[in-house]
Amino acid sequence: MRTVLAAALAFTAVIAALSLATDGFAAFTTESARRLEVMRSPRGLPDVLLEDQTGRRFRLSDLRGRPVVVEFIYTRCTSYCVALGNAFQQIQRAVLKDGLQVSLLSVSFDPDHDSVPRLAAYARRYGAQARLWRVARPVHPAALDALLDACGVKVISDGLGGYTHNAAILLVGPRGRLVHIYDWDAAKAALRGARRAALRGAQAS
Amino acid sequence: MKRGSWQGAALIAACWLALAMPPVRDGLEADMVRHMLVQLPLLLAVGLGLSRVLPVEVHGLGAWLGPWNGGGIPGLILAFGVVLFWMVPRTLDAALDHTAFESAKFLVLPLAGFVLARSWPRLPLIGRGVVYANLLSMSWVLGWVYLVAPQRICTNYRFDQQEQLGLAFLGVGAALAVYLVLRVAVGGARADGSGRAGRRGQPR
Repeated sequence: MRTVLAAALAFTAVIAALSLATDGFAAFTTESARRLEVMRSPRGLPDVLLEDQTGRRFRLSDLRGRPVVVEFIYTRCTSYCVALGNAFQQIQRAVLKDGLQVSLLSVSFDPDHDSVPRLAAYARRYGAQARLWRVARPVHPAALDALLDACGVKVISDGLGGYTHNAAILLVGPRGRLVHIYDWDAAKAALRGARRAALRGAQAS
Repeated sequence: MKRGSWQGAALIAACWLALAMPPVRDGLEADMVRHMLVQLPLLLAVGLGLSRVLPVEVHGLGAWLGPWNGGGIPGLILAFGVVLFWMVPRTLDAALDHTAFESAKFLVLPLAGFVLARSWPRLPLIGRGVVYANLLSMSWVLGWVYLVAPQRICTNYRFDQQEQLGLAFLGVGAALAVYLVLRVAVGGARADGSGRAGRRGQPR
């Protein structure tokens, strides 16, 4: 009897611990947890100072008023960032064609290497129009860490001198809060989300 | 004997501390295979070892808990659950990203090892068979999952490390299969579950 009770207790404890650690069996990886958390409760972002491909300095809060589609990249990247760049190109095209009130922002997490000319080269490669799509780097290293942390972006060494990172398309709402995270190849879904956010923003103001 | 036991316990505690020291810890955690298939088992082994060397008076606790651990099944559920918990990709990441999780890992896994060591001898042969079958299938399923996963499962580890872990799990499963076959072939698994072959010189 005591054994049955103890077994039931042990089983309950294991299930409870697993449930707590996985948001009720909804997120078994850090990446899915980040997405779930952002969807459930959009979060504010640190108001970091950035510098774009034209050398212009601006704060993240300057972009408020319309939704911003955000990606984190480093310009030397030859894998995910290329796919992300193509996705952003696609989004920019749709934004231009439909006259959407949506901005695009690429943030480099390798500001030491990614100087303004390198950011400009990246922007040229994907046809980024500076008024619409800013390719930027944080001015202060501490600001970079705070921004990566707030967005749940984890950058590790790829063992070959480059980086591995949880590439994704982030959507920041018109009020400057991170509201959704899409797969790196989900340009269409991100665009739909941005469109909805732009409509809501227009209604609100 | 008593003193020797305490010395053994001190030695194991020293191993545990060594595992927690930054150079060893970082070295083992820098790689996904080493983290999951070396560090986690070693932490479990700390508990197993402690259970072996600790003097009998400490085992008094075990005697008191004994009636609650009939057939070793509650203890085994707990130990298995703890291992399962730390094999979830998110908790493995959390151990690297949050000190609280890392500390919990270093405390709970040895505890699970201790409980496992106290429960295993009580487990009937059929129970051990269930555990072995589970370990075998889990190793191969996990190996397959890690090998074919299209995306990275841990944000702290690279894709190639994940594939290595997949292969390593397949290897662990294969090793376990060979071990089980050998045991049966050599006649170790007797119906009464009394352990190793020929210890009592019983004819096969």
